[in-house]
Amino acid sequence: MAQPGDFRARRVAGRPVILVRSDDGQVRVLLNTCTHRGALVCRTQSGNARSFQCAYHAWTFNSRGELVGVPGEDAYSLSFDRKDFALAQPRVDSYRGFVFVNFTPEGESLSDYLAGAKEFLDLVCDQSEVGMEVVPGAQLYSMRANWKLLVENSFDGYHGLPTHQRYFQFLVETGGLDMTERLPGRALALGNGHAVIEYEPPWGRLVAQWNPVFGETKKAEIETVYAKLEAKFGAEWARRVSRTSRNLLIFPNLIINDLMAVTIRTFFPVSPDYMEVSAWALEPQDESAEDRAIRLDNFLTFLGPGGFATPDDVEMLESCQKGFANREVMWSDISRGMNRAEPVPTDELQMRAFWRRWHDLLTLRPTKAEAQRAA
Amino acid sequence: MDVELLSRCAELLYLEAAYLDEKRWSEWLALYTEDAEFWVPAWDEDGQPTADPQSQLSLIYYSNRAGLEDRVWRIQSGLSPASNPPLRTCHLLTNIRLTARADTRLNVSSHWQVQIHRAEKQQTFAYFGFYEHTLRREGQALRIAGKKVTLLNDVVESVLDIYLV
Repeated sequence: MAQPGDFRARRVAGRPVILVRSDDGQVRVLLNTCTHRGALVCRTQSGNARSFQCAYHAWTFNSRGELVGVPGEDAYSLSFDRKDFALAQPRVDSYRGFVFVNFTPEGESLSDYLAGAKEFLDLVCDQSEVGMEVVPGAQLYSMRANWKLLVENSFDGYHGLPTHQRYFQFLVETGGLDMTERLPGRALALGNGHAVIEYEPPWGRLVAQWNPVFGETKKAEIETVYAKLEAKFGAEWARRVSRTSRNLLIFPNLIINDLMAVTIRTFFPVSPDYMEVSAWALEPQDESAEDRAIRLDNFLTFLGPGGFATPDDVEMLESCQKGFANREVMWSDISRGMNRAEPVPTDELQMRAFWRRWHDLLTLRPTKAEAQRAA
Repeated sequence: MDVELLSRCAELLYLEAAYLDEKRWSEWLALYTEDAEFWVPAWDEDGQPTADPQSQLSLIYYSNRAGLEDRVWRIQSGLSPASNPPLRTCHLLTNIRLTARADTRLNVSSHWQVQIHRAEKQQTFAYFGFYEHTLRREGQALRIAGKKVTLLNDVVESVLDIYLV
């Protein structure tokens, strides 16, 4: 969305919104609801527009959301003021190119809200010197399961081997993957319900850990990438960017999984037992055609409704939803790792972080920051 | 129009559909050449199918038959919860047209619908769209050297697999 007028129409939390770069260069989010009688003012998914004209009665709004055209305006009373009819705008802020909206007019800043999750967004974004970009195309799919099950599953290090046995066997047989070692790593609560597992994966990463799958020819290239990262960020940050993977939850429903390929995934409940999922691939803007093809191949092999792993996850989550019909079994157990001072990725600390925040919100318990502000 | 050639192409497409519905995996694979590309594009922000599997996101993409062999291996292993038990399918093909022909290559487009039943979930749904098959003449035989599947449902119902489209 580099040019003024570039826009994307999206649903966020089930609401239709327009993300637009206005003519003044600022990125805005406009609620996609005509202030006249409620129709969508923008009915295309993306493009470049100087203005948005409602198809119903042709009220027209500019790229800042201001009402600039009303057919037959002389039929309105003298008190009619276009300024009262601008498209509504929720609060909007961004971090490392991720644009977030907040439908409440007041409250904490995005930076405060993201809390410890910012560090992990940095690790994802520092893979490229010029920035990351979403590859064209989205994977849209649905599941007959409660949306919170996908939160749990998206950073569940414990389920990998049993659920994805076939996939991991495939990786071992197609080259270079040693699944006999436990994944060294950690699970962290990042504040406000955000959480992550960070671990040293057995798979290779083009940024920048060589693996036999890539072939000998890429070895030197990958070492160069690593050396550049080390020079720019120092040894420790370079190691984490390159040699660790992460499954990150931004509470409540944004997942960024930085495996060999990076996926952004968000999901919305349609009903208690049904959700819709959108997934995208995030890649370095400056990667070679060859690297993009390798990353996409890895992405499709593992992820998405036509991949080797995601369909098995979907099947298990739908299976849980069916199992919940037996109400005598009242609780899911996520106590794994509570006996450990520093829980690991196959523990369930990250799930506890999510559910605690969820519980706080349902019971209206304030966060620490909110309690401090109130005091 | 070469009616006989068209009917041979149609016969091959019907045979493929029958093998998929009857889960006759090795016979299905044998219809494909080793270098056969298999591609189900995703949909982009402009409501168009993605145009290049090497630089844009797809739903399924294999650059050769080895990828299809992996899929079959996974389905047959019994270890993939999503593939076990396999879903019941019924492929319907129509509007079969010969769109281009070169020396040994034929391009065939068709319209399809697959009715799908997941018995344990008492769920019935349909996928539908277009096929573009690239066929290759090998002596007297015709084999599939490429298949592009445009899936018009842009929200996948839980699962997608080579035999569900």
